[in-house]
Amino acid sequence: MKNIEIQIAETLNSIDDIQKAEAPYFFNTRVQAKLNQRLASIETPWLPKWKPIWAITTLTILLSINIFSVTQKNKSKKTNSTNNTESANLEGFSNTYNLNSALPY
Amino acid sequence: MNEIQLIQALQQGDKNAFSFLVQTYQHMVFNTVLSIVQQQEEAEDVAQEVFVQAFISITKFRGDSKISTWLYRIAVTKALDHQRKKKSKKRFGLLKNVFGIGLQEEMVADFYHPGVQLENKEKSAILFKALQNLPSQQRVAFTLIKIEGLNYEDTSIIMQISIKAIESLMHRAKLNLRNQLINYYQSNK
Repeated sequence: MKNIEIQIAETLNSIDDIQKAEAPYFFNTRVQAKLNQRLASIETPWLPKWKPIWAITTLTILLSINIFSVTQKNKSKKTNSTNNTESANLEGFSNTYNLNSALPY
Repeated sequence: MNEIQLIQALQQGDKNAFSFLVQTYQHMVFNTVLSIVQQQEEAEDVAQEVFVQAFISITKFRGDSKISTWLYRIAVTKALDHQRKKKSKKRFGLLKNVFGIGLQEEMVADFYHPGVQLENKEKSAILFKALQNLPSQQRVAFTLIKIEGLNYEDTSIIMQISIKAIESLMHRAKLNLRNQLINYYQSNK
């Protein structure tokens, strides 16, 4: 335990005489370049920055339009087919009772 | 160029004044960011961001504190933000590994601060590793006082809390570090 205590004390004191780290060479030049780049992007705010969320949103909208149109098409097909059977029934009925022929009087 | 002149020039968008600002405070900002981020390239990137942010938001600077204090605040905020993002990315990486998507677990390299004496390199690397596990407020207080060499008063102005609160943060930081070091040395006997 005593050994550990010494090690802890040494570790805690290991940064007592620490010198300040210096920024790398050409730091100023790189900052200037970054600033110019940032200012250029601020000056053209009309140009939207591409984000993955936009792609997802667009895809979702397109998919929902597709699904909507397919379901609508199916619905109209169904109603058409029911209309067709109804009209066939009516035609059959009128043929049986000879309702289609012109009245003699 | 005194501080007031520098602020006025910066507020007018003077690029030469900005260059002067970077030249004057680059080491201070870089050292602070490096001590929190603990990675040379990432620290350089974050430090650059600090100055860009300073230039963009100089119009909001009212001049009621020193430029260095203001830069320290931006540096600390940016560095902590960077660490938070990095941690959440790591968590996502771990999750990917759990589901077998990730390739290999990232190697955690020890950080050697360039300003540490050669004979203390190994010990300070252990300390810097322990520092990463401190709550952010304790970590900032410890970094500014022990690594940046600021006094309690300046640190309290930067962190916008009382000196008493700084003392308490430092006390808890040392206790936390001590506990971590006990665990570390007991498991590496």
